Order: sequence, then structure tokens, then C-alpha cells
Amino acid sequence: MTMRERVAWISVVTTIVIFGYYFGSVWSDFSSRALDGDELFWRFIKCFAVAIIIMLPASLIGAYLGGEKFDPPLDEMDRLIEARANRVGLAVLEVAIVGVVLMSKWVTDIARADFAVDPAGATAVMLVNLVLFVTASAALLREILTIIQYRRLA
Amino acid sequence: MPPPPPITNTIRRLRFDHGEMTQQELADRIGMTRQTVAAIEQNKYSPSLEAAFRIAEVFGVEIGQVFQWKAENKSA
Repeated sequence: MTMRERVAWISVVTTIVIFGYYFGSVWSDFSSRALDGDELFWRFIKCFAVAIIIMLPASLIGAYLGGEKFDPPLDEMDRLIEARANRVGLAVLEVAIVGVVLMSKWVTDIARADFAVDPAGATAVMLVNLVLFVTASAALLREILTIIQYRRLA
Repeated sequence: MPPPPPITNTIRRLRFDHGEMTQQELADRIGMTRQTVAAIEQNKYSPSLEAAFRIAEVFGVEIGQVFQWKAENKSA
């Protein structure tokens, strides 16, 4: 297994666990109509920090155990795999962002109906989290595609 | 994933003929990872022209002795 694939595995597992928890908690807050932008901001920062704290040492340990450099230079197959994964990830992100924009009307309606105290704030919190969700999903897809290509080629 | 190109290679044989050179040794000499060399050897990945020349150079042979085009001639 190349270092790139190892990093992709670490990234996929960490993203699913940490950001799975984060977006699950956001959905739970949304379902109970108790969105608190301040609290969500700090929860996201904590999750992000935990993800970095897990991924960095895990990658270092992976490099050490595999006897490889932490960030080895890409060869042509690595670049091809990365380019294909990036292309699909970017296309999905573009479509998803358009989807979020189109959903903004529905989000605004929900905010007006269910968050009457501060509909503008609720709209912002929901849209920011939707953008975060599609960005994380596109990044996750990119890493999964990287792993699939390494499994098929290498 | 596109199908592998109709190219065969003799890298396994050439490595054997060069003192059982390992894939890692070949990879180090052409500046690639062992996994990429394995993919080329198994015909899962088509290397660039530059990489193909580098591989031929390592074994001291012409590029045609390393890679062979196996497409059928459909225009005939």
C-alpha cells in the first residue's frame, strides 16, 4: 500500500467518524428545532481539531510502519489517480453547491416557519452547514475514489 | 476506469535477466513507487513515454524490447 493510499484510508475513516458525528448532531439539533450557531461553530472547530489531531499522528505512524516518507513525491500514476479523483470530486462539489443554492428557498421557508425568533440567523446556520456537508462529502468521495483506483491499479 | 491498452511488456523477464532485480530497485532507479512498477508490469497502467524510455534505459535495451503493441490491424 502506498503512502498516498494509506493517507486516503486515514482520511476516509476519520471523516466518516468525526464529521459523521458532527453532521449527525447538526441534524439532531435541526430536527428538534434547536439550532444554535455559536454552539455549532465551536462544535465544528472541536471536531476539526480532533480530526487533525487524529490524522496527523496516524499518517506519521503509517509512514513510519511502512518505512516511507511522510509526504513522498508523486509519481505519474499517483498524479493520474489524484487528477481523476479531483475531477470527479470537483464536479460533484459544483453540482452540490448549485443544489444548496436551489435549496436556499426551502431553507428560508423552514427558518421563517420554525425559527421565528431569528429566521435570518437560522437560515445562515443551515446554509453554512449544508455547504460544509457537501464540501465534506465531495472530499470524502475524492478519497474513496483514490482508494478504489489504487486498489484497481496497484 | 478505461480498459488497459493493448500493450504487453517484458519487464518481468528483463528484471529476472538483470540479477532478479526487484520491483523496488527498478522503481528507485526510474523515480517511481513500487506500486506503479507493479501496475506497469501487470499491464494495468500504461506509463508515459518518458517512463518507458527510463525503464528501457535501466535494462540497456531498446524501448521496443520492453513494450510491444498488440492491437489487431482492423484496417486490413
